[in-house]
Amino acid sequence: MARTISFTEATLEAMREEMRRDPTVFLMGEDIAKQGGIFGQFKGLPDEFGIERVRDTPISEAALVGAGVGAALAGMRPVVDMHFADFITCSMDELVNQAAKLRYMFGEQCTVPLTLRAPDGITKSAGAQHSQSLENWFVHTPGLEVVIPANARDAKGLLKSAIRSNNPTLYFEHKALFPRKGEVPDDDDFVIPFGKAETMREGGDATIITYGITVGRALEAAETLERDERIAVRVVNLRSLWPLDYDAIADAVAATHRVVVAHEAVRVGGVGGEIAAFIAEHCFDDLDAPVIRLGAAHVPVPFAPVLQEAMYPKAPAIAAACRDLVRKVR
Amino acid sequence: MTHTLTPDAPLADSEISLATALLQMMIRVRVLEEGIERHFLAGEIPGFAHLSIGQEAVAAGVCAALRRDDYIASTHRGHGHTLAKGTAMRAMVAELFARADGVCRGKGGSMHIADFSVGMLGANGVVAGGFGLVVGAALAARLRKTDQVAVCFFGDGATNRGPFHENLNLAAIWNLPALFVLENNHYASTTATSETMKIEDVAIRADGYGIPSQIVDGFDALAVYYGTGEAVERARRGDGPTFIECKTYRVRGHYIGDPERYRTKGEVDAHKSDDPIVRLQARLGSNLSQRDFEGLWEAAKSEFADALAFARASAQPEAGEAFRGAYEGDRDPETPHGAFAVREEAAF
Amino acid sequence: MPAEITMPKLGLTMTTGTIVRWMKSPGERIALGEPLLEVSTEKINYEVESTAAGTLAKTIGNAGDEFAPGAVIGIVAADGETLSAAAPVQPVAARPPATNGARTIASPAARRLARERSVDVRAVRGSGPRGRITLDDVAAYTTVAPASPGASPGYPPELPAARRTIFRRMSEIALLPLAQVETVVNVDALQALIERRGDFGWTAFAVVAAARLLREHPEIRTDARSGAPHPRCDIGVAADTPSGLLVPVVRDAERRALRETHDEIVRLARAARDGNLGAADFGEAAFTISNVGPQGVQRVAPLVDPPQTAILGMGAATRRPSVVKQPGTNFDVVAPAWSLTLVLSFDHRFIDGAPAARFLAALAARFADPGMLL
Repeated sequence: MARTISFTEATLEAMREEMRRDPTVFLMGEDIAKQGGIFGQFKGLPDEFGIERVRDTPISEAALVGAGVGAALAGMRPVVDMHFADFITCSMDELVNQAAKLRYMFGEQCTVPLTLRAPDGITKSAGAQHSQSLENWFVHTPGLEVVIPANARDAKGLLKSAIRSNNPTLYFEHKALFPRKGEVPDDDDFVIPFGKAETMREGGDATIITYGITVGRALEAAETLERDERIAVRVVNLRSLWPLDYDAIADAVAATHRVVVAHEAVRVGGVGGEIAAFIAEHCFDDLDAPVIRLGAAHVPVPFAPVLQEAMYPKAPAIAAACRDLVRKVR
Repeated sequence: MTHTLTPDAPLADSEISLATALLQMMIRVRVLEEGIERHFLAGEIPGFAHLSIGQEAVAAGVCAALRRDDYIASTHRGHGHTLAKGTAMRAMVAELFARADGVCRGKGGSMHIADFSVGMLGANGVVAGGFGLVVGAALAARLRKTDQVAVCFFGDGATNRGPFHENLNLAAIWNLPALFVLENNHYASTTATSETMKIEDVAIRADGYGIPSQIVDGFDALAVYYGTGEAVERARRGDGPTFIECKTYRVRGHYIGDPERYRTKGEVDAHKSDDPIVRLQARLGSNLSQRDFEGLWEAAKSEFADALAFARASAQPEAGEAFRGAYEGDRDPETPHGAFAVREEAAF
Repeated sequence: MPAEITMPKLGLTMTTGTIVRWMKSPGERIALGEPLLEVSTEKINYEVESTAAGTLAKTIGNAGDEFAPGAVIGIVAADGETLSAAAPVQPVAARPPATNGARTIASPAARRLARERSVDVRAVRGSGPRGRITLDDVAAYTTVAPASPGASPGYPPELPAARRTIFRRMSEIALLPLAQVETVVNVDALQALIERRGDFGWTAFAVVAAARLLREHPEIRTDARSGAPHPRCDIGVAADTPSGLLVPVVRDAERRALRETHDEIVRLARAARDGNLGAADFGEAAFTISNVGPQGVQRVAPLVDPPQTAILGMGAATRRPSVVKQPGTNFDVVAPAWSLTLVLSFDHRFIDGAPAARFLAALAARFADPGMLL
């Protein structure tokens, strides 16, 4: 059985279920307890779990993340909310030099079961310092896990898995996804395992490999291509960027021979590069055309709506890339 | 609130065994540090090593006032803290020698030595890296409703970094069972405190966060012990954090091999009389015979010799170990992390 | 830019392709991938699909015209485009193949498929950007030359060189829809005639009978290349030689007498065995006969030899039980008689069962009653 609920509600359910299930799970961040989160994603939690387990912090990202790491070392299971993913920059040492490395450096004497929630992405003219997608920095940091939900179902399943994971996990939730509704299973043990992509749509002419909010844009592109041009495109939702489902990528290339990799994060140096390089190295003979990467332009995100909308890939651009591959333009 | 203890008062009978135990710990730290110095210079220890010779009283005094289940976090200069908290010397020396039997399986080394079995949350290669860990551990104790405390060792240099300020503030507002123990040895790497701060006593920074503080003679192990004991009691009672500034000095360079161009030999020599071991021995006076005193040194040297032999005989880590241990689950090839580790290893 | 339609390269050895017919006329709409014209080579006929969508603006060349591979034979204008009158399009001698200097540009997947099918990727026409050879280009190429297992143009390593042409030709035949009709004839009379006269043999009789009947049954001599009857009734005669099967041709067999035909057949067979066949003795024929009688075998169902569309197989005349009327009565009795099995194999794309059967029946009637021929 399943119900249709919003992404916000799905994450809230995940938090509630995990906090009920495990008393070591607690939550801290800015504007959590009293405000309920700027997207309403923590509403009601202090009432049920109390303000010891749902803590507002001062604007002290370094201490917030550092304390999260310390509490994790000492046997708790903290969920730390960054407010905006852009502010992770204020706690990079705590995340990269501490959380990511302690288990390895200390010879596995400890685990760091920390979950970092980070609302990210371009929406509503939030401007350059509140619109970034920084997941590639953390895929590039050994010791961290990185997951990115594309819909309400992913939101719940991945957050539950992130909390249960004994590795430090970054959970990037696109701000524009919060109000979107989707079907979510009733089961309160519903988890999505890391390292497993989901094929959202089948098709033999090309594949779009993507994640996060771009999954919806890719599905839109695929719909249009099918309806108007009888081009059938497979859409692969990675869900988990580290660990990465390399097998799903290889299977898609073997089946369709033409690939577009798309994400909202900046194209240069983005996760799309890792995927394209993997394909070139390990799926070379399956390729009938070059791998096309789509991502935001190499500029900070501008404020003016007309400028903001011009610099990252949406459904038409994704469809055009697929069309170019299938029509042998590229 | 700041106060200092009266140095050099005669020992009460009840203090003799405590003082002897503190002396023994300081001697063990001294022997370990001098041994590390010798063998680093002989090329048996890779990487960097930062010695705490001269600062033994802080390590010994603080840790003697803690329980095994209390937490500490240390700095790049953490050998003394690690030993004083209860780690076996064998496991420490093997770690510095980069052997598989090292306490961190050879993956951490001097700057990242840790022993979770005694609550030692690691030496840290990032200055001020320990504050968050200690605040978090203190928070965990509070959430689990235990009376554990968490102690952060740090140097004067760390007090100029952002996390110092953020974490002291957080510990204060949440009333956490944390101790912030500053080993003010007046140098952050090559820069003297006279150049890096406007103030003389760093403890007044704690006032800014509403945290009570002490200023303690860091060469006096008993003073450190008593000061710590007071702070630990406060914390266990639920009365919140304390800042303890230990005035001390390191007689060796910042790291082994440091040419020490930032201070004169005269200055270093002037501090020789601050040797905490000599000071405590003098304080014990006739309560500790010369023979017993020498016996402490013999025992420590014998312990080091044993640790050295153990380290030298210990195997190098297997090459495959490089690819595992970053993630829980990565030793199991059935998990995504484990499967990737297998591919990664094969690629090399 | 208007799109050029070029003569495809349909095989490694193709030097020219002949336009058979245009399937669209200038001014007609054409879709991407829609068949545009039919071309033929020595080996096969092929439907060329349009590589552009729009309107067929111009055709260059008519049925029967030959072009080199790569030559421009048509222009398709996209919607909204017109051809400028000031720039008439000349047939280009040959579009360069998909090479970049010395390199052939082909996608990795195309190269892999070419390797698997033992195709030289350089022989394939590329439809991708900048002439890149893509997966479906190789796939299409290898269905032109049949891709059934074991029929790849790559030769088995131990195959004698002399068999290569046969190997290739048989590979091409493999996909043809061949059917057969068969009949058994009482040849007592013909057997007696051959013995009595002694100046002709069974093959010669078959050649003359078939040639004359082919004049009256034009569909049996359809040329697969054109779909029209072969104008002459030259008959190929399968000969077994030390280097394998050869098929020398008896020219104008319908006009020859039995003895003359027989002499010619003997001459050809000897020349074939000795390797002395002349140019005129080879090549184009309207029909072929394969006689396994000399080997003492009763029946053969041979394979058609393209571009021919029918072939006759005949076995040895054999004593067999036969149902005959008891002389002077109306009773059926079983008596030994000379019996010959005739099999007509035919390409069902051009010849149906009934016409094939009628031809065979007519031929069989001649065998049964040789007087019809004399």
